[in-house]
Amino acid sequence: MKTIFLSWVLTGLALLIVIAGLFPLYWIVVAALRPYGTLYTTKIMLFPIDATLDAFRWLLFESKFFIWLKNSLIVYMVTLFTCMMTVVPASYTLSRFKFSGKNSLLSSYFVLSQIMTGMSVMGLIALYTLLLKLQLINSLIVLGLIYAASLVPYISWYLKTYFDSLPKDFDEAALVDGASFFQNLRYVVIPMAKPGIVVAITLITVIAWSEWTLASILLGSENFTLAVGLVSLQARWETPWNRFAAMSILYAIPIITVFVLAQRYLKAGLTLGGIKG
Amino acid sequence: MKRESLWHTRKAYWYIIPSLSLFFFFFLYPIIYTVYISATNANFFNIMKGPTFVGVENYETLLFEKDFFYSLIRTVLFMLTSVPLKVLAGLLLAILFSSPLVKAKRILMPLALIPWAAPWFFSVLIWRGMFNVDFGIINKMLISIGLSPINWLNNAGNAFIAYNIVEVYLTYPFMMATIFSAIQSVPPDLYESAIMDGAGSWAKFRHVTLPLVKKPLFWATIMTGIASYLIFGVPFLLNSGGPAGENEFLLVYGYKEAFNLGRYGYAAAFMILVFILLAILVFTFLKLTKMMEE
Repeated sequence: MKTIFLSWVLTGLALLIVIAGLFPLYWIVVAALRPYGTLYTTKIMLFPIDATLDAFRWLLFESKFFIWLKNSLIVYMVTLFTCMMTVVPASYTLSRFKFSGKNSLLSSYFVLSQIMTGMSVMGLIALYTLLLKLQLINSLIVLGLIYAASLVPYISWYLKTYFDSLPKDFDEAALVDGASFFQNLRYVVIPMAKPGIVVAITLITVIAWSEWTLASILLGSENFTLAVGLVSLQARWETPWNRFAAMSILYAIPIITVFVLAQRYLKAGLTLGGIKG
Repeated sequence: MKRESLWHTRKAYWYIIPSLSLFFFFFLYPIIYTVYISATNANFFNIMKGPTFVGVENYETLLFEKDFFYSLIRTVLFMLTSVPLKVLAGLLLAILFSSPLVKAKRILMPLALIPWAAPWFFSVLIWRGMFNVDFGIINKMLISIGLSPINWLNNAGNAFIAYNIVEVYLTYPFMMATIFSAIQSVPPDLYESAIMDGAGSWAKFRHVTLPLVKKPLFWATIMTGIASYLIFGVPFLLNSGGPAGENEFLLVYGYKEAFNLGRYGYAAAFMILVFILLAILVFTFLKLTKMMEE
């Protein structure tokens, strides 16, 4: 009897925590459906009885949403392509080949990957002044390359540990039989490593899609990404909360979906990459 | 070709070089360039014409002004409050969700992790709305249970509490998932033999679970400690380290000096000092880990 009671109490507690964790996301959905300005009332409204799609109409027909979306996609494609093209061969090499300097490179990658967000704020002054001088500021492609570069330590480390967990037999046989490095990579290693590659792509997607700090300094207003555009809606004295909320939803839904779909792989990936080192 | 010589080839460097040069030119080089900027009087007005070399003048200014030490102390204070809170929250949640008494875990656990997926700045902005003094839901709730509303973001002490709340919200899924998977890896027969020896719940936790999760817990603590030292987004987006700059942690202060006031040289010197302290911090942590492993 006592255990059953305790079981209900603990389950209730867990449920309460889940609700508290999801509450901010629920709040933003309600905010998106409220008419302009009504959020300033002092009444609590958990269900929007005066629901309207005004904010979404504004978003789709009057806002710069699609320009910002296009910019975000350009940056994201550059990041993903550059990062995967350079890091996949490199991390495979780090996993299999033996060469001097390998261990120190790996441990610096590990340390760097843990402090990357802070490092990019620290390096931002130099990055900004350097790009200003080279007249490369306000370029979506350059921003994509910077993102890709900042992801090199993290993704290299993650993929290296993933390749370590794969058996050596197949790719070794392919190389012994005379396959070139890239043929081996293309036809043997990558098909075998699909789950790890999926996690790497997810990590790149989540990080590149949600980067704000660098983009807010390095891009002019005509080149805003969605992240910068979204924050710019809030920067004014009076925030149009319903519009901000509507855009947040369209902005965050894809990334939350990707994350939920990949969650099973991700948990293993993150603990592998971040903790067991 | 012999199998051993297969993996010993100088060609290996060629496969590494593209990623290394990407990292060097677009990330590491700008950081190194910070050292040069920090030795000049670069500012908003002279940056295009070319700033002049001033040697260690910026560093002298830094060490004689109290701003650096003020924000350092503020940051250390934030580390001392946020790190225990984050670790404790993660630990308690992981224990709760790994308890056999909690039902429907297969549904509840993934739901509890969803906030992890929300982009961090997006969550911070939602919290900024919820903390709003007049129409934020938190104050509305306080009023509805008969308490007086709190001026969250325009009071240094309250804002400091708000940062801690948001920081815990942002990191609990990571902390919880890490500690949870460590607890899952404890072999069940260890618990069985502990129960046979007459161990209660606390004794089981203290003598079976804790020793086995100690290492991942320690790692997660270090990582989150470094994240607290480098805290930027939460205070910057909630109230830009305010009010009146009273909560300007290290990176917030450096960022504002550079991009709000245009003092690039001074801010670069500031960042270099922050980096040196970070390097000492990381080095100490790595040494500590080595000591723990022995």
